[in-house]
Amino acid sequence: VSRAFLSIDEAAARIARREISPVELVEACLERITRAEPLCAFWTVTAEAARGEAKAAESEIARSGPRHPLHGIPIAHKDLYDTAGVRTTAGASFFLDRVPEEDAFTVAKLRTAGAVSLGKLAMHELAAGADSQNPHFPSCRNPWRRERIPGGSSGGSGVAVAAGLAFAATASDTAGSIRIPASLCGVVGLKPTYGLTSRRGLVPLAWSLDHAGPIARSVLDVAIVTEAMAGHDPRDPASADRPVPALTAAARAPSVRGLRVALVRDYSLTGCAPAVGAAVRDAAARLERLGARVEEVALPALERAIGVNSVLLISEFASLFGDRYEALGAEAFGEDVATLLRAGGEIPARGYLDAQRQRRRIQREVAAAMADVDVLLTPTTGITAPPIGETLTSIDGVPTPSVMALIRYTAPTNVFGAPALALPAGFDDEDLPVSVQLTGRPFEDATLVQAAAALEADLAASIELRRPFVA
Amino acid sequence: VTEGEAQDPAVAALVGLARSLSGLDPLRDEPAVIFRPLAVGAGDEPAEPVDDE
Repeated sequence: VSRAFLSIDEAAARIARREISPVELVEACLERITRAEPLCAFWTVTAEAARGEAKAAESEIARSGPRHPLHGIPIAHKDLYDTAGVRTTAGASFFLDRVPEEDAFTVAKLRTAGAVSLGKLAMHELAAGADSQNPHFPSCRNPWRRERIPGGSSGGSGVAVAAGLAFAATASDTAGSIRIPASLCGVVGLKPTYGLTSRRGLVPLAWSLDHAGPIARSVLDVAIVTEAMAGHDPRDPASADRPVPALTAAARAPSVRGLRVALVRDYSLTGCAPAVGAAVRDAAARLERLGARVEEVALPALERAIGVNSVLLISEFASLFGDRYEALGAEAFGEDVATLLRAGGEIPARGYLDAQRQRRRIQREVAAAMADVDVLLTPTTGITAPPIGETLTSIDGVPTPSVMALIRYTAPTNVFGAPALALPAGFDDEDLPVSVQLTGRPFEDATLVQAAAALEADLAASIELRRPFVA
Repeated sequence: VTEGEAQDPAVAALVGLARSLSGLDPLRDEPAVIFRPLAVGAGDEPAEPVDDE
């Protein structure tokens, strides 16, 4: 295995045994970042700072050993995570020269753990879209096929991790922006329970839906990074004052024995491409074989939650950036983002409040349905990576907006705040990654991780490991 | 129908979504985000997480 494709767990073990140095890991990533320039995953590479951090980590580890499994591990940040002294644009024309003075809460936590930052990653403009095609930056491309989208909004995060440019990346998720690029790039993405990770220092998209979380190449690796990012932050009003769940320990003890897993009727196996549906059925069979009880539940609230997410998202987005739209005009934004801001500004106050009332009802319905279910099993995205610029796709012969096919299974969980994990589950007949999604109960992230690790291990035994080609 | 809805079908579709949210119970379905007062001296920290039921 190339050094750049080691798991965080394996790299950490080798660092601890002094078999490999953080400096070597950073150089391996920087070399691949140069080779992968046509993918346009990075907007800012902080090579010299990364070399300095790696050297410091190497010295400290030589003296007193690693302080955390992330000590000396090269990672990168979505360009809406504030990084002190390093440009943070959120992909917006009016933030192109923005340099924050402070790190985001989660960036600071990762720095404290010893992670080395390689730089800042491509994303959809203001995180308000699912393809990461940003009018102010070069087109970010899927490493499995370059004329395809990487997914979004955290497209650069998905690409960097899949192509071996970083061991993990931060991402954020308002309707699926951690899980969609994880799905389309064939890596693991975890949206933790709302409130588990602070959003302070992230440029917001929609306060009541935004989540911070990581993308990495394995369930154990996302567990390690999430656990490092998590923790109560009194300065994020949504931050939960609860102990950080033992996610790493859960990932090290994979099991679904006795777990109750549910497919959602008229949802888990509908509205998706045949290869995606087949992957979900296969995952259900595997989970059953591993000792889970797999059943079917009716949960029509999920379909309703998609629209509720959209109304909340565009209303809060317009509250955040509507004044910029009015001051700068539509031409300062991509056409898709301008439409969302315009529409958000037109939503009547009653529409927003009705959406928040529907949300409470959806929360109750999901809680009731999940009283006897630990994990829901669905696709992550209904399709594999579509071509750049394709706005309409076809599912079972039915023309469907590509963005709807991408967010159908991810957007509902942001409405009720449950943890959800995107897990690679093979490839379709075009050799593009397919992904299944496991959704847990709020604040039961550890159970979700434990189940995902078990399914991941079972899939690994029968699916050939592939890495995308980088020049 | 607002001016924006009349001019742009994409805007009309999204605003229409908000207008279609119905069937709410006036006595039962309160909004998910509700106001919580800040105790004096509590700084920015609310009494408990906003969306944590």
